[in-house]
Amino acid sequence: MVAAIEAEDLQKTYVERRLWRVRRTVRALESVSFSIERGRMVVLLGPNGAGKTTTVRILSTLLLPDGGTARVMGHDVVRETKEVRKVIGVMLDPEKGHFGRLTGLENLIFYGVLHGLTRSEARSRAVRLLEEFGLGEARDRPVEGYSKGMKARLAICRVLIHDPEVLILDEPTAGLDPISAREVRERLKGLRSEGRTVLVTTHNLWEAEELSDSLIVLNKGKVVAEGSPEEVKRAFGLSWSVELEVSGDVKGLRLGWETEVGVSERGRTLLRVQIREDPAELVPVILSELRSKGVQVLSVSVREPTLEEAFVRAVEGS
Amino acid sequence: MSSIGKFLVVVESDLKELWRSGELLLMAVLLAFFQGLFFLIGALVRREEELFAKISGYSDSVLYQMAGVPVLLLSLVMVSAVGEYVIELGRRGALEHVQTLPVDAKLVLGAHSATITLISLLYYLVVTVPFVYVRGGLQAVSHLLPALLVLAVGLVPLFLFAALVAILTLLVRTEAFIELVSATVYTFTGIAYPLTVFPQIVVALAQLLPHPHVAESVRLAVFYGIIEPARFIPMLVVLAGYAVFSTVLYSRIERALRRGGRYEVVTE
Repeated sequence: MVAAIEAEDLQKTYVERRLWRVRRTVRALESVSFSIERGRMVVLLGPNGAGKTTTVRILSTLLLPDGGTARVMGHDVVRETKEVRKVIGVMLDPEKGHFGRLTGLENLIFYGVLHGLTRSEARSRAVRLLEEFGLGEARDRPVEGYSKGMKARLAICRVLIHDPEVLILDEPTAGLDPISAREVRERLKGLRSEGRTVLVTTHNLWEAEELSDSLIVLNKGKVVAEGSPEEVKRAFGLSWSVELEVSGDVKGLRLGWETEVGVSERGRTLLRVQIREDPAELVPVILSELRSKGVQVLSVSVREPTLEEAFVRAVEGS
Repeated sequence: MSSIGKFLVVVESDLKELWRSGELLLMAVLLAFFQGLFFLIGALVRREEELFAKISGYSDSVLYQMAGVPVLLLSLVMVSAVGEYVIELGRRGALEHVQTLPVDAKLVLGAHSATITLISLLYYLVVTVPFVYVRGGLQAVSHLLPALLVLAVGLVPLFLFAALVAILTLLVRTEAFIELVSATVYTFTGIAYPLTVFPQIVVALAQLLPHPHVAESVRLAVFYGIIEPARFIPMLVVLAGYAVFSTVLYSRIERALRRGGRYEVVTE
């Protein structure tokens, strides 16, 4: 089965010129390769200047790579531009891309017809999408009067107007207030359940973890980590912290894992064990070992490693 | 959806945007004002025809000269409207989103040109009829029909010129470029005053612009009700030249934009 999105050794350098003189060059993509299966929601994660937007713009056919290849639903983004544009829905900024003096409905009809729908198809689809995204009442109002959140939802309607198989969304919650951002995230989760392939960029780690089936972490124009959030955490050797309140002497205790002894908030002896494997399997083993050594366990809690820790390691390590 | 459907949806959206922004009304008022102003100047200078001929070396009447003014005004409106359109699209991010559609951007630009051309023809008719009637009565008004025909064809190279300016504005990334071109067009097209006052080299270079050809063809049509092949054919040649040049340049610039990834014009 053909992957929905494939990038192989993508390279891009921006050359800034003043008349004919080169002022500076910026290497945006060193070498980016990844593959996204159909029906997956993948988050492209990275700090500012990592190459996320450049990657998205190449996949959207807006930018030509200097080297490497990229394919969307089997179509080459450089040579088969029109075919790629037929199967993608692109949002580059949740607030941009609208015609302010046209109404929400007129905007969607405009984009729908230019995507090849008949006027009546575009209209009926636009009306349904506007209702579905809570913009039914505002559909006949000029977009320049919409709030940021409404514009963001209209932008999602716009990328869906021609029912594309692949959605490419560059920071879809950027600049939105928390309520609007949550609304947009909920809508995006809905898109995943419809079986579409969605590529989203963000530098919001919490959002990345909430939305993604898998992550691609970019830094300095290179992929530095890839996989599900759990796999990315594991790839960077991050550990779970198992915190046990115990009674009994644990000072000379030797376990097969890195341990640390302290005092809990309730004034009890706290034993902190760092593990790198699945806690569901290891915690019972730790408990039975402690029991066999005469230590009574009063409470157990497990603190998961955060994606932020993995992200920092990935970025700093590269 | 056929290309016609796509073309029409752009025209419809353009008209709605122009109407709701008040630009349609503003264009009408500006054209009427300047047309009136130049007609007045023409009427006043008419008393000094000999002096005018002496200074300019121009053999036709001042009013004949002034009959080309609408061409200049329409061209300035086009340069400004098309340039602003592309800049606005870039600023709002719509240009990039339009670029991601499976539709030839030339169709979108062409539809926009049709909108501007139709509006321009309508305005020309509305603004010019009263002055032509005052000058020559109903007989003169009947000359507007060939004039409209000439102008309809002539507006195409004028639009292509405006589109070229807009595309180049995207490349040089400063809105001031539009003002520079407008000033150049105003000065060197021989519409506001005769080209004969300039050195021969300027006269020759000005022939590369579509304006002198279109203006002269329109003057002949308005004054004498004729379509003069000696003037009309060079206009068609210029039209063809601009069509080829702008198509080639557009392809190159589109590729340059895709290579550089900059679709927004600096406006401050």
